[in-house]
Amino acid sequence: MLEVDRVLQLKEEFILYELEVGDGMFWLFNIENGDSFKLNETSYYILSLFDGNRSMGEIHKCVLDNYPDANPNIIRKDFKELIDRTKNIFKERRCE
Amino acid sequence: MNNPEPTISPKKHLDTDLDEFYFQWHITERCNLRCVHCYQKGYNPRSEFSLPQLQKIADRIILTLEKWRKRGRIALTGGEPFLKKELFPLMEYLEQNEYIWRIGILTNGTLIDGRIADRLTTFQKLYYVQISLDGASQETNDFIRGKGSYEKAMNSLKVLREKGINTRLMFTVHKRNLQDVPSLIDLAIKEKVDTLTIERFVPEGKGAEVKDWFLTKEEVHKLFQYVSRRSDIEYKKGIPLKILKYRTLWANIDPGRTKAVDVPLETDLGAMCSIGIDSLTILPDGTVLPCRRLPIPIGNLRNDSIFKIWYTSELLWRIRNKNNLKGRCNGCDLIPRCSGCRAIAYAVTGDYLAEDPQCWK
Repeated sequence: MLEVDRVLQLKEEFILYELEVGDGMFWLFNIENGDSFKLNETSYYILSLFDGNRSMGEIHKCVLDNYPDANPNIIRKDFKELIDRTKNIFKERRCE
Repeated sequence: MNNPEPTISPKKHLDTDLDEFYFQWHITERCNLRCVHCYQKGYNPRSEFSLPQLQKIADRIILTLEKWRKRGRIALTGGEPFLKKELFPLMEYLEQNEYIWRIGILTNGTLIDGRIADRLTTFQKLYYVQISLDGASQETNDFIRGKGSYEKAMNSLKVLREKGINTRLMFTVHKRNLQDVPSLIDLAIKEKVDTLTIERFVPEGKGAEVKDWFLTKEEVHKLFQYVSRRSDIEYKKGIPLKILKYRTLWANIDPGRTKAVDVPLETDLGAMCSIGIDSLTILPDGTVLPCRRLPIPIGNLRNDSIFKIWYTSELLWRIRNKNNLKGRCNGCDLIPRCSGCRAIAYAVTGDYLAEDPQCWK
């Protein structure tokens, strides 16, 4: 189940970077311990939505809107898997 | 998009295959020479680090190499590094770590005697001592580097060679010493120098006062043609001198050639500027530059991790993206064997993304 009211944002030590070359190269860096992760465009797009202003439900809707041709069930599953895999990069903000 | 499946893959270092990383570490600004073309502006000892502070910087370097699983090549320099009493203790500290692969010393060669050379032989990871020489004759060299510097540099070369230490000569070429290049190669061969580097003069720092020494593209073209031919001739004669040519613009000497069958790897022509790929420069106060000749600070190791600088510097990202290069460097078919010298572009035009003004292509 997606916790649609949760509001997450990237921890301060994580930064996203898009290198505008070719079809684009997408990165997630931890500037404290040096971890680096190569992303694809979809991961980059999704993680960039976690700005602390949108709830999980709102982000999920953005993703559905951005990929109108894709199967919504698969998007929901992939979205949840990505969040589960990357949960350590987020900090929580509670909805007012 | 048909396949929006998100992926995330751990990478060790920006996905490059390179397994080395080079740090040029200026541990002091103090210098006993006042070379006319020097890239330094001042010689201020006030902001220098103590040994514990140097060790903290070393720890940051080691942490980075360990994380990236890279072999570290560290060139310790100044100013004049032998004026810094912490040089040897720092080398001892660096030697103990497995990620520090090789240590070099870049010096003006005026302070090396038998006692210092003996001490240098105790370092297992000392790979070379590089001495700057800016003329094949005393007259040319001392005009640029100061009276007596030629004789002292030559004596140091001899002492180092006698102790079996790998020696390099660094020659910064400009209009006042261009004519010395043939005899400089003769000299390097005669003195059994292991490696000769001929580096283009960058008119910045004190060197900005002698901008008119900067070579034209035609002069650089002829020079590189000569050195390339001469290098091949000497190699075929069995002369072991290596003349380093994995630098920018060299690929343009013979664009079709990558690795000639009859010449060793060291004589391969051309390389990209290493900024943002596999090198950083550290100044005596911890300031980090993309390259010693490109004097735009991108962080300071007093407060910043190397990770933070490497991953967040806009300058590094702009240079990494070769689509940002301007003029004839943009879209040049010699990329990735050349990307122009960003420091020279900056010194001459004020724009580090501008085309290399000495490219003759």
